[in-house]
Amino acid sequence: MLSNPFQRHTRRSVVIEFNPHQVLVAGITRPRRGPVVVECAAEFPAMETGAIRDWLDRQSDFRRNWATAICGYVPRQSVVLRENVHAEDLTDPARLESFITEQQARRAGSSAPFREASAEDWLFRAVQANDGRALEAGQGLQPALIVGIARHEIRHVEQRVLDCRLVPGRIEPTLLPLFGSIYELMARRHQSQATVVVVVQDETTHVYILGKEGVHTPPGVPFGLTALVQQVRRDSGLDTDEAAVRELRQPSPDMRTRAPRLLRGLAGALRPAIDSYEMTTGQPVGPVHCAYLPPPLSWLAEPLAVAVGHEAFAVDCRDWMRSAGLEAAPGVTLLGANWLGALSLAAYLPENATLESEKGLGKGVSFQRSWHVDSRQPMEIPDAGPVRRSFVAAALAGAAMVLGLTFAAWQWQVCRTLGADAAYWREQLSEHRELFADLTRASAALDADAARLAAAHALMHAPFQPSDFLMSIGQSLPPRTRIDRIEANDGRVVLAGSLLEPAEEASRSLGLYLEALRRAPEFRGRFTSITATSLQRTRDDDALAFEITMRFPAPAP
Amino acid sequence: MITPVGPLRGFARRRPLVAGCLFLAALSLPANLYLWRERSAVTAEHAEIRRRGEATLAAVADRGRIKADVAALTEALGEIDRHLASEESMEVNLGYFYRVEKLSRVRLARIDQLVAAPTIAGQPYKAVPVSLRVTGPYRNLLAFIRELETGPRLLRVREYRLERDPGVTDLNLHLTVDLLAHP
Repeated sequence: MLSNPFQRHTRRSVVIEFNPHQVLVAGITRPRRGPVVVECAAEFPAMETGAIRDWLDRQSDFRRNWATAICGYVPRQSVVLRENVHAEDLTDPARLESFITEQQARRAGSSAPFREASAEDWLFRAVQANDGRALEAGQGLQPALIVGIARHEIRHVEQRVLDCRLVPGRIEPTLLPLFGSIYELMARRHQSQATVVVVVQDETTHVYILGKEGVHTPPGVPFGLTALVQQVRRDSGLDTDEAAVRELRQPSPDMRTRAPRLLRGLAGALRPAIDSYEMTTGQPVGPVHCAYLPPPLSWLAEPLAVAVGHEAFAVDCRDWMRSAGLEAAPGVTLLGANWLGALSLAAYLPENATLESEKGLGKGVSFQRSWHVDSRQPMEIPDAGPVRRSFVAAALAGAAMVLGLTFAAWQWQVCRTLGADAAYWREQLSEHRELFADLTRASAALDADAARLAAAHALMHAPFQPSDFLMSIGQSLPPRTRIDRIEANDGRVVLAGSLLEPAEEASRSLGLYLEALRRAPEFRGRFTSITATSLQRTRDDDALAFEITMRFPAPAP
Repeated sequence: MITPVGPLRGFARRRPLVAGCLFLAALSLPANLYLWRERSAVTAEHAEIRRRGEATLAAVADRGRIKADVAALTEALGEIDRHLASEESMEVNLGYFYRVEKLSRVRLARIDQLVAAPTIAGQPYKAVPVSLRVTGPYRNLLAFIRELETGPRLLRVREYRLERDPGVTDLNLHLTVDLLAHP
């Protein structure tokens, strides 16, 4: 079958676990089909951050910044309670707060770090105590395992993940996946006895008993690694705590021999809880698993189990991985018993499952597994400066790119459009070339003919026709007036005649005649002046002879 | 020697989006310069060819009018040319006036063809002056002038003098006209 080349077949993620003694980091690839492959793994001191990023940068497949991380952590301030609850009690924050506070008040003398639960400061998650599934509403009282974690610790974990330039896809209290893995190992071994999980921290030690009825949570004991170091120091006569720690991490044969005695105090504190479990449930307790002990301290697991009166819970991570949908790539050498919790975070990842932070990137589906709860908080970035600068830089770079590419695209489009238009005009010119030449010749002939006509007009044109002028004069002549001579040339017209009236009346009539000539439409505008140039009494009679001169405008130069 | 390749590679790895955008922006710079020159050249060429094309199309659209104008002009010039006078053919020129005399019933007392002004090189026509003295009643003289004005020969009345002699009913008309003639 052909595969879609645009379909991303493999997702890469980072699994990171912050436990009381170490930070465990593994790079995993999640193919569409088949087991999740652990490509690389490393262990770091508990407070390390920078070395983690450096290590990731050296891994060719995982050096991408802001890769998705599946995070697990063992909080210093937490409470794990087994209680019978209604699922509805856990959905209402107010009811949950009062419920937890009430339960804690009953556990007088426990090592629980709070006496009053507040949803503002604590985050509570709950699963069914026997199989780790989510609580179902309407099922009445159910044995639940309630995990309360201080919110500031979650934020601290988130910040550490961000410091490693990773994006937390999930943040889980790693104890729950660990319980799930241990239950699975018990089932594979057909183990009927309960398993004791001991988590030794610096100041306290927590014990959880995984039996048939689910996880039981006896109170923790105020005896941790610090107290053990002090005991080693006293017992071995060492001067400093560092020497005692070194003795614990690099135990001599003598130390191994003395170990049950050294652990007697811790075992004595744990044993009542185990005995109480056996008495109340009637179920025998079997092996003891010391979780999260780093390889240098892992030798303590067996003496502690012996001191408690049981045997150690054997864990072969590589064997367990095969049944948990995991596979170690060749060359991955770590993955001892201390990795059980970290690898449990990635166990049973369903195919095509998508982490929360990957939802925006593809079409995956989120997943819900037993013994897994997500405790991520809304992101709070204490210093928004770098983010702002990063955003501004990205925005500026993006704007520069968009501007540059848009301008280039516009110029290319303009060139293309103008080129096409020029081709159209070339085609038009080519099509009309003959016609245009013919018209050019016709225009030239027209110009030549027009020039000839203009020459003829220049020679022959006159301001008006003499016949029209003579007729107009005849029609405008007043009574008792006689014209004797009309003389015209290019500059003027002279009218000479006589008025057959008494002199005074004749002069008045001549004036009126001149006014009439000036106003007449056929003369107005054709002459610059119409004036009487002579008015004399004739010799023969009493008539008055007159002469009127009408001047043409001067010709244009 | 320190080369910028290492830091650039590190920057690209840390900020692939920003690096990609900057790379494309930098790439678009020479592309824009090249396209700017191309666009300038194409724009100039387009403007020239469009101007020529529009002139051609306008001329083609005016073809009918141009042809009609040419035809009208040709006809008018043909009409003029058919009736042009010739300075050398005085008898023909004066004969035209005698024919008009007969039509308008006046008496052509004297007629003289004057010397024409020298022809300017390149001029298609020249004017041949003719001096006339005509006698007759007013109406007939007016008809004579009207006949000259509307007759087939193109002429211009340059000067005229219309006068009556004492005790005589007929009028005297002194005319100087320019006949349009072959150069």
